[in-house]
Amino acid sequence: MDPLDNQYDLPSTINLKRVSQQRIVIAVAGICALCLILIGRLVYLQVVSYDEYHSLSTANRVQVMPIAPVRGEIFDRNGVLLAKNETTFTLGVVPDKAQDMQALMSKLQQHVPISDQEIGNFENALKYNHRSSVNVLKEYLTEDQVGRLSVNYHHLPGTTIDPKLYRVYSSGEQTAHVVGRVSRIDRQDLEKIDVSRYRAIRYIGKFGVEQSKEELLVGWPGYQHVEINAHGQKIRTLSTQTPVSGQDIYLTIDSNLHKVAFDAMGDHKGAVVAMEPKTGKILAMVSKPSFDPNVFGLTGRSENKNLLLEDPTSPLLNRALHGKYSPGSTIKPFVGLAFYENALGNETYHCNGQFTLPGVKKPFRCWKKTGHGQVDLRKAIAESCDVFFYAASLRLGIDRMYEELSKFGFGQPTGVDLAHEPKGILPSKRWKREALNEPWYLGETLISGIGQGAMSVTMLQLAYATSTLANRGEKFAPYIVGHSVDVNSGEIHKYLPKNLGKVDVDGKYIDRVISMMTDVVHGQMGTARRISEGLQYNIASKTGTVQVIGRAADEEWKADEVAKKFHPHGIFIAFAPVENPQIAVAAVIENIGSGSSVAPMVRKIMDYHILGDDASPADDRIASVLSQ
Amino acid sequence: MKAIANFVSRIDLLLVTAVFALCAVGLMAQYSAGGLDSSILWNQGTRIGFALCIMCALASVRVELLYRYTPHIYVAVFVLLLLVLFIGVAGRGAQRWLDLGIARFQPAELMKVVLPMMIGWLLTRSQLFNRNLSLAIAGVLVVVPVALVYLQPDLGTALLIAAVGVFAIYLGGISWRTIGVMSVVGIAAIPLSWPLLHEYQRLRVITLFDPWKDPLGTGYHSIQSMIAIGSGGFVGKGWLNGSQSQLDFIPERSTDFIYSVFAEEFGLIGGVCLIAVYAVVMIRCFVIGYKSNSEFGRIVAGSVAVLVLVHLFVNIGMVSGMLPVVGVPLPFLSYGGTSMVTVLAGLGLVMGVRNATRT
Repeated sequence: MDPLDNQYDLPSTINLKRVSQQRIVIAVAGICALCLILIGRLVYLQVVSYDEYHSLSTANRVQVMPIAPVRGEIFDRNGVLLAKNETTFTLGVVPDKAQDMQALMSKLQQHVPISDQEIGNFENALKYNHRSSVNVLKEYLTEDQVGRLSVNYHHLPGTTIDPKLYRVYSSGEQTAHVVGRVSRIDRQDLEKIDVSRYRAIRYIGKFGVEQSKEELLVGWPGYQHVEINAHGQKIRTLSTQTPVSGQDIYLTIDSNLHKVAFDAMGDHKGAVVAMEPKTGKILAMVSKPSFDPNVFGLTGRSENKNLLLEDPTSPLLNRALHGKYSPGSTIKPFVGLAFYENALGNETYHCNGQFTLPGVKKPFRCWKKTGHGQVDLRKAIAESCDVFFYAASLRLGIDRMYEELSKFGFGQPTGVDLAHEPKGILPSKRWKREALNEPWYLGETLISGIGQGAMSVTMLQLAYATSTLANRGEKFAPYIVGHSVDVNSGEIHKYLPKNLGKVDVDGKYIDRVISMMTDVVHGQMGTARRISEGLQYNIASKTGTVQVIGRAADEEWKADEVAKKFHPHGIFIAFAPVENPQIAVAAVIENIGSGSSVAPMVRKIMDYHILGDDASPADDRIASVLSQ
Repeated sequence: MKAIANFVSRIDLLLVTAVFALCAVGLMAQYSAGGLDSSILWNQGTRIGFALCIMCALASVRVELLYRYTPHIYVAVFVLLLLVLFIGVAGRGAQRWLDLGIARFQPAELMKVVLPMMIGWLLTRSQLFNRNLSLAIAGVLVVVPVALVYLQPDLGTALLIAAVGVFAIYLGGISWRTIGVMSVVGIAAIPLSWPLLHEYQRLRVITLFDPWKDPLGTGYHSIQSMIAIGSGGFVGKGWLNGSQSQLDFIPERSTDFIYSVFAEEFGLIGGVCLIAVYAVVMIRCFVIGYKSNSEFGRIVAGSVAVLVLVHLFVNIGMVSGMLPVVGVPLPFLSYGGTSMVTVLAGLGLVMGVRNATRT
């Protein structure tokens, strides 16, 4: 054997062999230890943390894609669409398919304007979404933009154009307040809603019927369980649960009547509520100035929204529901009933233009400085004599007045199916003590008798009280949703009129007061006699003129514009035909000067409702009356 | 007949059985990871065959002969390593391969086996000289090739070669005191080495501690791999049924992350059995080394066992989120032949050592 080979087996010193053998034994122990560490780690992952990783794996593999339900649409009583869903197109980008994001962005910019905010949102979304999924870049493309993008589609790899539904209010500003609107779900909403129900939905009803009937409108989302691979590509659908569309809602309002009222009010600020006395159905609820609710939707520009929010005329305020006004003389028919109920209805007083309360220096004035002479209740209502009401109210006392007016719903919400209805103020001694912690003064009783002072009502309350009167004391709760239709089953759910019973007032007194109210239009000296011309039916009504100047006395007096601001509000309540009432109306026009100036607008509404389109020939005459 | 019997007697049946078992598991995992494409099995089968031939060849050669030419082999591999730096073929940002026309190979892989041989040779030859001096020279023999591989740059392989070399020196009997001092120095050097790391390497270490910081970026590999392993549970989802594997969630799943595929489909039971088979291979190597009368034999056999161990530990440690992501394959399971050829060549050498002991 080669001597070199021998060296392979060169007997090492015993010591050396023992050392390396020892070390091999240690190494074996080390190997076992390291293998145990590996096994320990595997036990940790596969046994201890199994549940966590199992669900992560499922989450990886199975994507639950919520499918948005179609929101119920809103119609008027005749089936005219007020709020509908329309298709909009959304521009999205699949990052994996767009090789060069920078280049794609600049190419897209040539076809559609993309704001920095949109780019910011997009880049934010990229961090959380898969690169192979669609990330939204721009929403609500115009038709023109969709066209431009489609034509250049092959130059824009990785872009998608997807349809989505959005809300359109086809009757626009005419029904803006009552229909309400949807807006993006915000942080506060998230605390209130069942988030799982809104997973695919971005909008929630705010204001109006959209808000109060959200539960019916929203529907239930569907779900699709999809198996996807790591690139987000769909491998197969595991299961599908179809969404349940929201219910369609048919309101009691008549959009044509809305239009008539809306147009009749012109550029004035104010509100009109019209009801059907026999049912409590609200026929119209108009507030002006109004706004285009589509500005808030999805195509709206934010600067327009801000303009609306900052507008000093508060176009967003629903004056018909939330506007609180002194009723002025329109409270007189109800106070008159209080007189009758307390045996004061047959009194007569002499009006010399003012009324003095013992111990009070300043006299309480009648609107007619020369006075009405000898006045009974009939004359006091038809000609709106204040002195009569001062004197009779003084004898009635505030607490009895409170009791009688309560019967007609003043000072309480009407319970209409709209959110956040205010209850107004019906003053009493107790109310003043509790609200202001002050004693009651007799003078306040007098001005309460003519609907001034602390008393405040909403047009809905006033319309409701008028409607009750028209119905000869039978109360029907006002409501605005007539019926809803389950679009899935075709099932119709009707909301029936709610009879709240009869007002505890003697029917003959009601008849008398109604006949006095008829004199307001039809009497020789009635405050609204101007609208009787060519009238084909009888109207019972009452005018009211509400001073706003007292409130603003301490404000600085400037220019004409400011003066206009301090003109009195005009209020008008009416129902017709007197014998068989079909419509009861309460209307307020701010700063128009007097209640009688509101009467022509109300007549237009009534003409339309009672006579239909045949009423149009009267328009010119009424216009001439209005312009006087 | 006698020639065949003679050949068979030179093969260690326990090692070969374990290797076949590992290769079989590897083929199953490859089939699953490769999208059920049978051509993958042919390719991988061919590599296994080639690697087994090398093992048999080395087992058949008398180890004394290899011992005699060890310095020549070492120098040759060293020169190849130098060549790689100058004329190597670049791939994935590093210059690791030499193109032989028919196939590419990495000289660094050869070094994994040749380095312990060289140290074994040195420590056997130098028994009559100053032991500490020879150990110091052995240290140099380790450091220089490690540095060359690091320059390619291939940190993973460099650390692997270093580990094998250091273990060889440990078996050679370096004093515990020196080991202690070196360990302290080594641990102290860890913070110092931080600035020397590449940006991507630092990121990998950071990711190790908090993979969820960037779940779709740097943490993606680790997270998806851990989800695959963890969701496999105790018995696994069944062969070809791993959703993480079949739906492409595991990146590099045929190569470095093959264990995740295996663990998802075969669970903890499969994993423990697999590690046990690797343990059989390693312990068998140690037993052969233990019995060897030769310092060279002991060092080579022990180092080959550690070579397997480091691959196993680093790879599974990496895919299970215990260690940073470094490109170390799992021999016999990972697609590709390089690590398998290296390990099987090492096992061939170990069989040679066994044969030398028996005669």
